Formats: sequence, structure tokens, C-alpha cells
Amino acid sequence: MPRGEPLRLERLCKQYGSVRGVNDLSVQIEAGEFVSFLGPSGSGKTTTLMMVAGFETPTSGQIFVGARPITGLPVPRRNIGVVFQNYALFPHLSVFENVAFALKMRRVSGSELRAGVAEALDLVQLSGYEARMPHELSGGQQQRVALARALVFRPGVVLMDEPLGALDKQLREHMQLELKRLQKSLGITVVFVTHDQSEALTMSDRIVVMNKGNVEQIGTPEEIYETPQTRFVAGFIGESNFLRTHIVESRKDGPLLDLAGLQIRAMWQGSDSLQGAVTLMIRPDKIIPLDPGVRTDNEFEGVVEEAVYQGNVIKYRIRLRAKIPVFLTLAAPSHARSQRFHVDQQVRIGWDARDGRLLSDEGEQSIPGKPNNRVAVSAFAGVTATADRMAIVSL
Amino acid sequence: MATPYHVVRSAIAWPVNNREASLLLAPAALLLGVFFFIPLSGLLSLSLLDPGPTFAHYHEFLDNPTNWIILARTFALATKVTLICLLLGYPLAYWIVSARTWVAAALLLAVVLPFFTSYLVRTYAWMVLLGRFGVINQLLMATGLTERPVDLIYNQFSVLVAMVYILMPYTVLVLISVMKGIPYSLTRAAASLGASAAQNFWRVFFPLSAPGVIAAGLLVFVFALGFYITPVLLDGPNTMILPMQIDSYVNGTLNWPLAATAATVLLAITLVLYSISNRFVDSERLLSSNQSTAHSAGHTARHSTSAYIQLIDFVAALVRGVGHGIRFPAGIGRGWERLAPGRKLLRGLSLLLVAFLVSPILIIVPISFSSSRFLDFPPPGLSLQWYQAYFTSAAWVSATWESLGVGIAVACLSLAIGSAAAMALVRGSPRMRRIGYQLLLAPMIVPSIVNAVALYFLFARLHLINTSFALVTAHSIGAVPLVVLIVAASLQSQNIILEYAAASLGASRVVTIWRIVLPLIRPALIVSGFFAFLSSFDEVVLSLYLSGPDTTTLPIKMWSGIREEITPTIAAVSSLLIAFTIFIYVSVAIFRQAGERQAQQVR
Repeated sequence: MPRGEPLRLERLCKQYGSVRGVNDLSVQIEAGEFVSFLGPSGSGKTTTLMMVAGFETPTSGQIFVGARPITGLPVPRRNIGVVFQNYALFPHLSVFENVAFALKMRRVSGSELRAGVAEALDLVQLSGYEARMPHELSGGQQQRVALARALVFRPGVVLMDEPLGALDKQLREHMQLELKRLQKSLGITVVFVTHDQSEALTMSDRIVVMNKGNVEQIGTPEEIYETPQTRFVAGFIGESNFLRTHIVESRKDGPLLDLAGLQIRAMWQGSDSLQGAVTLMIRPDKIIPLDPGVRTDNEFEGVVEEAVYQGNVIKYRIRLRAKIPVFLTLAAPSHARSQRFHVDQQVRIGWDARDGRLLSDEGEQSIPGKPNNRVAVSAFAGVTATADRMAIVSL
Repeated sequence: MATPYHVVRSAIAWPVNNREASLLLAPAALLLGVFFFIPLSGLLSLSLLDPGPTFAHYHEFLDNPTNWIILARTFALATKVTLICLLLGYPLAYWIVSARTWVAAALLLAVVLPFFTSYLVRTYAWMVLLGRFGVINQLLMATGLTERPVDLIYNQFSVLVAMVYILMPYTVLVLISVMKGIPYSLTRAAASLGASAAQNFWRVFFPLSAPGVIAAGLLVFVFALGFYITPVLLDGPNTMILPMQIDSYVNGTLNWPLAATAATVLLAITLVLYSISNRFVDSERLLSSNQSTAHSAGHTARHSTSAYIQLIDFVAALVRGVGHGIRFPAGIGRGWERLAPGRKLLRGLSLLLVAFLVSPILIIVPISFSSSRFLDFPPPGLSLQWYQAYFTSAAWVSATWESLGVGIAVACLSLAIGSAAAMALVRGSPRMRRIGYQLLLAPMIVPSIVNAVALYFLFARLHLINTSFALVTAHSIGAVPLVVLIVAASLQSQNIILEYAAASLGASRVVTIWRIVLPLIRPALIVSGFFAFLSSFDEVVLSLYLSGPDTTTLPIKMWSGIREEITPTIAAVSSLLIAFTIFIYVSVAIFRQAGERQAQQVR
């Protein structure tokens, strides 16, 4: 079994003229770990990947594979596998020759070459396709050839740049699971770049969320979704209600917030230094309709303004007092469970204080001490400005 | 999978560094530097520094009222040619762009056929048609329209007709490539907003095509200014134009400094017009790169963009198109029929233009099989005597071998030098690319008479006149830019990520080029080799100055044959040349197709 090698990025910077492509990025990726770099286009995730692969030279910082520094090493000598966005299969070479390419470069020949290629093709379940040309393969098969080609020389680290982006949704989801299984069984270290949040959540051991060249948060999928540390992360991964409130009273268990006269209870999340204006973030799926008699921390009366049918869920916009709208999503009704709102219906909704998350209002994150994310959040200035009510970012 | 395979050792750093790019660029720089830029500066210094620093030659040139008349005549002729080409070419180009596919294909063939026919053959065809006892006069007399032959030849009229004929395919092809760039969705949008066909044309399509039309016009104008062969063969002795005046200084009065002065004047005019034409095509793409390289590729030599490049680009696409049966470049035949105002009139005009483009070539071939001693049309009987005359003449045969030898040498040399340079330009730094394109493409703009005189002065001093070496280097100067353009366009369209992939798999630069890049651009290499060969095979002006009795090429032999007596032998040679061009054209297509099929079957 080939074992993956750890990959360490140390204070990596990439400057294009006066533009910061990647800003002071440090991350330690363990051997055998699957780490996704997630962010919108222009966030620096692909630049980071290209620096690791060697196609871009960092302005400053170091890259290590294991204990071996590779920052200045030419691409062909890095021994890092790369799966490119549109596979980049050599169109004039057969599947066999594509996969054999890296071995030939390493002067492997004869039966060893054939065995190596056969093993790699076997891994991706493409045995028997050796003689095919790339254009004779389906998208998913090309994807597998690209994977086999990147694995055949047993690199310690494999980089993948949106490798599933060109596949249709069903095939993509199938390949996600297969890729993940392959990575686990081989124990290779994978750095995976994507802008698709659900892909990152499905596959990753850890996710590095990037925005405008900065790291917004590094954490497991659950950490990223449940406890986003910045407004950007909360908005980029999943949907959120952002309620602009201010703290009226700090209690030991949590502050009491005021939202245009509505009292909201929240929890401290290691951020008891917060004062004044804060944004409360609450996921639409954490807000629940309250049956008569049911009590929870925060309870509000409201009117359903709009209902949007989305298949598995229905999204409702509910107007609270003082024209404050919040979104909530409910599982679409089934015969077993038929709860459904209609427009103009008076409803009572609420949420547990533990499900809300406080983000400081200038866009600073809830946990103090992390530098430089004022820049990150300024992207949402437009939203924040109008978010006296709320903003929902659906991606 | 126990242990990892060992790591690749010897490998050159990625990405391409400037030193590597310079190395690839060096042969081209050397060739053009020594045999193009040095001769041109020699020309300039001869006009200014002989014997000491002086403007005397310019005074002499400009104080002579005859020269002002000649300049005015040259400009007037070029203006007339340009206007006629644009006025007649625009409707045809528009029809080709808007017609259904098979109509467009047929029309395009009529444009491409003369385009690929030898320059000298085309001029000769008009001599046959317009001659005192030529085809047209014979027809006129046979129908009783005139009693005596009309003077159609050896005057401005015949020059005008032949120059329009020769420049029309260029004009139409450039206009097509301009019109292709106008998105069809715009005229659809205009139609949906209520624009009638005429409004749509005049308010949307025409304004959008205008910059390209102006650029095409300037291009044709610049070409027309430098025309030498056609005026010499078709014009009367008293209507000299500037290129002929340059020649008469060199060969008539043997006044080299004055010749250099006149050539410099022509060069200066050309460069000014060229830079103006660049402004109009500034916004258009040269070698558009649609890959992620865009950020580093940046402004791909935008400022060296010219309509000429579009033309070459387009013709290269055409040649490739033939490889796939008649499949024409995207954008042709998109069915904008409903857009044409005054459709019937313009189509009638265009059909006449098509007849004008095709008939000279179609008339040459039957005449070559004539049993008559004269250029009778239709021929009174069939005979192979003129072909026999060609094949049994030692002079004709040796000229043919010389041309083939020089052509093949030029193709090999310019292919090697040009594709290396193209690689450096496409993958090198943006700054190098910008400067490189400007310098490498310069030979395409300089009128060949200027180039020829400059090289003549250089080679005369080096005693290299009448050597094959002189011919090969001189022809290569014109061929290298063709190769650079076609190969660079192909490289640009290749996905650079494939090269990244090869590097990530452990391939060095050299291995990447050998195993990935070259196989992928092979079609472009074949096409550009074909262009390079043909450009040498057809070349007249440079050869006129540089060849001698030992190095007579086929065009030179034809040239002297035409000047001595117009016999059907020339028609036979011309027909053979047409057949030869078609043969190469078709075999390139077949070779390419076979290559592709093989590439697909190979495992």
C-alpha cells in the first residue's frame, strides 16, 4: 500500500503586482488526509494548488512534502500527482500510453511498465480499455484515466483541481464517493480544490475555506457548517439568516439581544467580549414551527409572505414584527407528515438559543485574535448594509 | 505497490524561462537580422550616407518633377484598385458569410482557386485574355462588335484589371474573416427589436464591419503600392509607377543611392499606412487564447495585429477545412440570408465577380492543349505539343528542378526556424512575445521590391548573386513569418494544461515538446510547410534580382518567356503549376487525414 506523505504549507504568499493572490497561507496536511480548498473563483485556491504543483512560484513561503522542501524544485522532479480540471488527457495517446507516460519518464519499461499500468487501471476499474483513445471514452471514464495517470507513479501527494466539475450531477456524486473510497484504501494524501460546497462537505476530512487570498477557516466539514467563524463562511457554506441586532444585556449563559424590539436569546460561543451591535446567524433549517403549547428559547409570531417549493424542502419567508423577514425551510410534506404553511397564514416559529451564532457586526469573526478578515467580509458590505432586516445567501 | 518509483532527476525548470525562449528565438533572429534588417538598414544608410551624411539623394529624388508624377500615379492606381476591390468584394464576402453552406462553399472555392494560383500565372492569364489578338478581342471580332482589335493591353486599364484580379481574393478573404467576427446574435437581436432587413444591415452589420473594411482597404492599398510584376508585364512604357522607377534606378541608370532613396520612400509610406491599419484592427483578436494561460498571455501581441494575420489565419483554417472534406471554418454559412438589402442586384454583381475570378484560370488550361501556334480560344484542335515543348526543353526542366530544390530547402529551413520561434513566442514572456511578433512579421509588410533591392545590394557585395544560397535565404525571409503565424496559432489553441500535465508526470521540457507538443501541432506543421514551399515556388521579385543563369527558377524562366514571346508553352507550364498546386493541396489534405486516422487507431 502506498502511504501518503504529509504536506506542509508555511506562510505561503503569491503576489501579482499589487494584487495579493494568496496571503500568508499556512496549513499542515497529514499523511493520508483528504483536504479541500473551498472558495469562490478568485479566492486563491487554484493558485495555491498550482504553487504546490510547481506551475506558480510563491512570492514567499515554503512548501514541504514530508520533510523535503520542494519550493524551488522543478515540476518534473516534485513527484506530485495532479488531476487537472478537464483531465488534460493527451489526445494523441491511448489510455495505456497516457497512464504509462509517467512510468516511461521514470525509465520503467517492459513487464514492470505493463504491470504498473495494469494495476493503476485496475484501481479505477478500467481494465480492458487500454487501447481506447481519450475521445472514445465517456466523461466519467476520462476522469478515471486521469486519476490512474496521476496515481500510477505512486506519488505521496495528489492534487486535484475541480476534477469532477465537468461531470453531470449524478455521475459527479457517484465519483465523489468512489474517489473518497479509493483515497482511503490507498492512504494517499489528497488536496482537492473545488467551489462546490456540497462536494467539499461530502469528501473532505478537513476543509480550508478561502476568500480573496485569505484563509477564512480551517476545520472539519461539521465544524465549518455548524460553527462558521466568519460571516463569509456562514454565507458561503449553506444558507443563513443574518439578523442585525445589538446586545442589551450580557448574562452569564448568554446575551439578550434586541432586534427592532424583539428580544432574542443567544449563547456565548467563546466570544463573551462582544458588545453593542452584533449579527446573529441562524440557519433556515434550525428555525422550527411551534405547535401550540410547545416552548423554546426564542418564540415569535409572524405571517408567511412567500413560499418557494424546492423539491425536498419548501422555503418560506416569514415576516416577524416590525417587518423583519426570516427564512425557514421545512421538509416538503409527505403523507406521513403533512405540515405545510400557506401564504398569509399566521404562524408561531422559534429556535433554540444554541442554534444561533454570534458574529460581530463590523464583520469581525466571533472568536477574536484572527487577523485580517475585515477584508474578507467587506465583500458582503452590500449585504450587510441592507441587512438591518436580514440577508440570505443561497449558493 | 510497495515502494514509490524513483523521482525524475534531470529536468529543466518550469515554466519556460527567458533564456530558453531566447534560445528558440535565436535562429529566426539571426536569419532575419542578417538577411532582412541589415540589408534594409544598408538601404537607409546608402540613401543618407553616400558618400558622407547627406540629404542630397532625397533632394535629387524629390526635386525631379517626374518622380512626383510617378508618386501621384502610384497612389492613384492603388486607390482605384483598393476602391474597386472593396466595392465589389464586400457584397461577395457578405454573400459567402450569409449563404447556405454549399453555396458558400462553391463561392469560396472561386475565391480560393485564384488565391492559390501562382502570381505569375494569373498575370499571364490576363495577357492572354487582353492581348491584341487575345481571347477577348477574338470574341469581340467574332461577334462583329468591332472590326479591328481594341487596345486592351499595355495601358493603365490592363494593369488595373490584373491588379484587381490579383488582390480581389485577399480582399474577399479578409472581409470574410472580419464579417465572421460579428456575432449573429446581434442581428437577431436587432430583428427582434423591429429592425427591417435594410435597417439591420445599415445600422448594425455595416457599422460593425467598418473597422475591418478600413483595415482590409489599407492592406490592399499597401500591397498595390508595392506591385511590381503586374505593371511591368502589362503596362505601357510611359506609365511608370514607383516600384518600376526603383528598378530603373538599379538596373537602368545604375544609380544605387537614388534607388535606395526611392526604396526608402516606398518603405516609409508602407510603414505609415501599416501602422494606421493596425489602429483599426486593434480590438480584434490575433491569436486568441481561450485557456487559463490568458492571464499570463495577456495582450497577445495585439499591436502587431493586422488584417494580414487574420487572412493567414483564415487561409490556414481553410486548408485544414479541406482535410475534412469541404468543411469550412466556423461561422460560414450561418444563414443571414434575410438580411441582404438589394439582394438580387448584389448577387448578380457577385456572380459576375465570381466569373471574373475563375474564367482566366479556366481559359489557360484549354489553351495549353491547343494545336494552334497562337493563343486561339477556343483552340482549333487538341495537341500536347506545348507540354512536349516544356518537357523536352533543358532550360525549362532545369528551372523546374531549381525551383523544387529551393522550395524544399526553404520549406525545411523556415519550418525549423519558424516553429522554434513560434514556440518561444507563444510560451515566452508577454514582452518577448510583443517584440518578437513585430520583428518576425515585419517581412510580410515590406514590399518585395524594397526587400529585393536591399538584398541585391548586400549579396552583390558578398558576391552571392546567382547562388542557390541567396535564393534560399531570401525566400526563407518571406516564408518564416508564414510558419510562425500558422504554428503559433496552432500552439495557442493547444491546451497548455497538457504541457503542465506532462511536467507533473515527470517529463522535461524537451521530452514534452517532442512527445506532446509536436505530435499535437503536426497538422499546422504540414500546412505551414506547404505554405512555405509554395511561397518560394511562386516567388518572382526577389529571384529576379538574386538569380542568374545558373540559378534560374521556374518563375524566372516563365518571366523571361513571357517577355520574349507569348507562346502556349507558358500556358502549358501555367496549367502544370495549377495542377501541381492542386496536387499538393489535396495530398496535404489526404496526408493529414491519414495522419489523424492513424493517430486515432494507434494504441
